[in-house]
Amino acid sequence: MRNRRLTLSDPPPANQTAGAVGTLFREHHSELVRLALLMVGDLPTAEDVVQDVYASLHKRWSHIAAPDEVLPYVRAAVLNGCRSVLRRRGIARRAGILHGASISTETTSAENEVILSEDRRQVLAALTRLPRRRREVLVLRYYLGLSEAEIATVLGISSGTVKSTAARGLAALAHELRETS
Amino acid sequence: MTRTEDRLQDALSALASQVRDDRLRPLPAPARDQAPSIRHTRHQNAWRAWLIPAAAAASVLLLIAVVVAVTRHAAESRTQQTTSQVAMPSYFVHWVGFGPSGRIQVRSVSTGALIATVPPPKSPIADALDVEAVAAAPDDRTFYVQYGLATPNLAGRQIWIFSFSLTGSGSVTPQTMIKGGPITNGLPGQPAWGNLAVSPDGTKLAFAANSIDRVTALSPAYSDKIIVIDLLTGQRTQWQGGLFRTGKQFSIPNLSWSADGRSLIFLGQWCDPPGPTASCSGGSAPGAYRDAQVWSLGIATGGGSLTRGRLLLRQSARFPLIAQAFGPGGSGGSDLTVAVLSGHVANGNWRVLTVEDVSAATGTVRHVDYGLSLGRGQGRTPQQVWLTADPSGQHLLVSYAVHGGFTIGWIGNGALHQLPIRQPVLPSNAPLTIGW
Repeated sequence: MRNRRLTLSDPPPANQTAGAVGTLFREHHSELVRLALLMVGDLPTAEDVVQDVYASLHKRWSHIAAPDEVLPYVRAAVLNGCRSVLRRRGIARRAGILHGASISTETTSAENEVILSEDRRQVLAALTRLPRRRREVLVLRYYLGLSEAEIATVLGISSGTVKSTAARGLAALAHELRETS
Repeated sequence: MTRTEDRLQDALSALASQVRDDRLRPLPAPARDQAPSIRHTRHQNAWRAWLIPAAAAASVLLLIAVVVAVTRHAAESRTQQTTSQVAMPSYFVHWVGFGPSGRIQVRSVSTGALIATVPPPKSPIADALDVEAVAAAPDDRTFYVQYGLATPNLAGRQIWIFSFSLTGSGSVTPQTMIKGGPITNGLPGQPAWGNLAVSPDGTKLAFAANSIDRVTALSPAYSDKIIVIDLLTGQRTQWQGGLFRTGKQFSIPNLSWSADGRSLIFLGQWCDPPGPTASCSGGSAPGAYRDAQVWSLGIATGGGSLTRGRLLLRQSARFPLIAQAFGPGGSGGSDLTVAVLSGHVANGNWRVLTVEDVSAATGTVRHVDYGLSLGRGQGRTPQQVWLTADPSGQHLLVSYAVHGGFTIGWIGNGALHQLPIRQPVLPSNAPLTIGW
């Protein structure tokens, strides 16, 4: 979260913090958990990431800018939390003390087995093989349905970069899936 | 929209649909005393100097990790199903403070963050109740608290059990007594710590209670009993006696449920009476008599003698002191997980704790989950290192006395994952009252 500094010149009073954060998370809790799930692949970790962001936001609320910038800030914080998780997993795997935990593998249940058909698994597996930024752009674009400008705000990059990254990501995905789209 | 975009959108939506609003873990209640902010300053631009290369390095590592994970997953998913289907608990509860000013707190397992502080029961005698044990139900939201009540006008000690729940908004419901009312069974002295265990289906509660049966003027020994309460009806079933040894004290320091909920795994310990009311869990004098056995007790036996169960494991040279025992779980899906103390120092202090998966059929060790050095000098007593199993028996929470307090963590992948909290040492070397 430290690489995004959305500052506020006129912070809200401290007593408004809990209510504002609470309202934001009540409205967007499940969306944020879904976003984290799509990045880290298992639900308990996704919930942990969002919970950590929620706790952290209480401390940082006063220097988040205008209300329309709050949600992009929180989404960016969730993505940063996911990156940290994936980084730690990478370290643990290299040390040989953690196995599994790729997308959709740890939340197996009869219900999920039905939901995630073989075709969908292939798509998700191909998605995990993309570079991190391409994966994030595609998830923000095709799951959250954000515009290029909104994605640019969340990721802290230009709209042009979003456009080119999305195009390259889709091309790589099509190649992985052996499609001629 | 291209076919790739269609397929991607469909796959993402399908995976995201696993998140159901009604099953989401509640977020922690906002803490009122949290500082509102720490101002950002320009020097934080320095982060960017190393953040970009660090992120690039992380991306490379991530890519490698994902490729390795995907290739490993196919081979491992089947073998992991038996042991990883039950998610680790999200919360643990523990007792913080002393006497009437103490409180039960609910904390996040992943961060140690305080989720909620539980108000005491609304009872005229609330101040007289001592917290003896806590436990969590399999739903990860319902918790049980065992209180002891000793008053001058009571011949023994009463056990009061309350429950409370964590709501979707992160607050807790008031503590309400479970069906069946108080149980007058115990001794007026020390409680039987860490005994409360919720069945895997959440319908029964088991615990060991002190009993004054078989106490004579010549022998101050006493013998623990096991009580199972049906949480729906309040009906109690009790197993008592049969394992008594003349002149020796018999304690059941911990018990847990089997994975199918049909039996209890309990540890029986015998020792020279350390005092009129103390249990065998504590230290003992050099050369003192001490023995331990792990038993399985079928619930279908409907009560009676403890010998209606089956002996699973004995203390031996391989298991110098069995400190605790739990039902099926552990990385190998073994029959038993035992906490073994070895390297006796003096006065009941031990140097090493190992958590081992043991075959109940053969008594052989299948896997050592974790080893903890308890200090080369004085070591620790069994009460200073306490394990708590979740209802599935697959996950172990550890509270460990260090200089100046207790640390708390969980065992996984051969390591102790410490939480960033520390709790002060309790009087009388009592173990931490903790459950998940």
